[in-house]
Amino acid sequence: MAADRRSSWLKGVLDLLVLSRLTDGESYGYEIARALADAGVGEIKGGTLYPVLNRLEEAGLVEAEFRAAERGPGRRYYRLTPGGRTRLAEESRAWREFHRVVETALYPGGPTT
Amino acid sequence: MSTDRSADRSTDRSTAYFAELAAALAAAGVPAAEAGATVEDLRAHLAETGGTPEEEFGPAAGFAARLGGLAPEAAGPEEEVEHWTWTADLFNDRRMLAVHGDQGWEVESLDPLGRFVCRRTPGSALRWEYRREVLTGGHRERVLAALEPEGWELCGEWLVYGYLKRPYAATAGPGGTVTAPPAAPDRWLYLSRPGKAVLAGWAVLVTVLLAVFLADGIGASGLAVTIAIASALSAVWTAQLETTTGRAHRGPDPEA
Repeated sequence: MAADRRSSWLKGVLDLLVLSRLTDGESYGYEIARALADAGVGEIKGGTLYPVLNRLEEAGLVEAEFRAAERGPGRRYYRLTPGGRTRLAEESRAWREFHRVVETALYPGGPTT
Repeated sequence: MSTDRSADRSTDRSTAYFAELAAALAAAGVPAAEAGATVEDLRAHLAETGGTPEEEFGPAAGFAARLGGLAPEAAGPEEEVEHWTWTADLFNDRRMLAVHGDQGWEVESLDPLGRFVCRRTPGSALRWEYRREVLTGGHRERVLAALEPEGWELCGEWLVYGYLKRPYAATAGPGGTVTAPPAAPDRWLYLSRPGKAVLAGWAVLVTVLLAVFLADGIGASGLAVTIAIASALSAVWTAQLETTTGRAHRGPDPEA
């Protein structure tokens, strides 16, 4: 049940979370998944992450560049575009406002803890 | 030695998976260089997670569809998207879902009246398959856990039933698209013969009750309660009839 809840909540905010992992510079799929796990979001499987990255690239919010590696398979590196940075700022503000509304609705008298 | 054989089998499975993925991307018209880079990138990811490709990415055909290779182009302007809402009784819903799914109609949700709210984007519509499962109590998590890895997604619930959808592209590759979709139907209601009989019986009962009410035989609250009970009984009867007669048509039990 907890996994269902997490999955359901993530659907609305995963794009935003992926964009947020690119604010400090370029990164690649596995590193983004690790960063999200380290941030407490939980494990994001590649089957979920890569369609999101493709969607963000098609929307012009990130740019991708494939680089061959000297040893082993190459990787596709992603970085934020100016449009992506703007979208991240706008959506972050909207999310904070939504979070505030939900919290107010759930705790009309203020947080209980 | 057995460890070596196990590693070989794992490598073979992984190779077969990425070959299938590359073929699905190529079949969808993804340029070879781009498909190759995608596969190499995913191999690098898998090398770091250490799992099997199925665990990490799901079935290859479905993953290729989600990557965008087989999915329709991004939806055009809103006016180009067709919307259609319809319903059917429990005897007819799966048959009509199959018919309309084949014509590219994707169920987005069930509205509070139990109607299927659908959309379709002409020119880039996918064919959809549907299934209906009972999702009460402990069934829910087991059924969804069994079906979601196969690409099924819950698209609506009505009473105890959950409706799940999956694009044919997940299993049929590029054949899962609609090339010449027929026009949106004018109809919105599809009743089967048993459904019509149940509805007629219910209508007669309500008419009789109204007549008794108008003749001051029962009060307004009595009328409301009796209609509610009659409606609930007819719903249960419908579900019972459908379960009995339709069992033979059900797909394989996902819990089996």
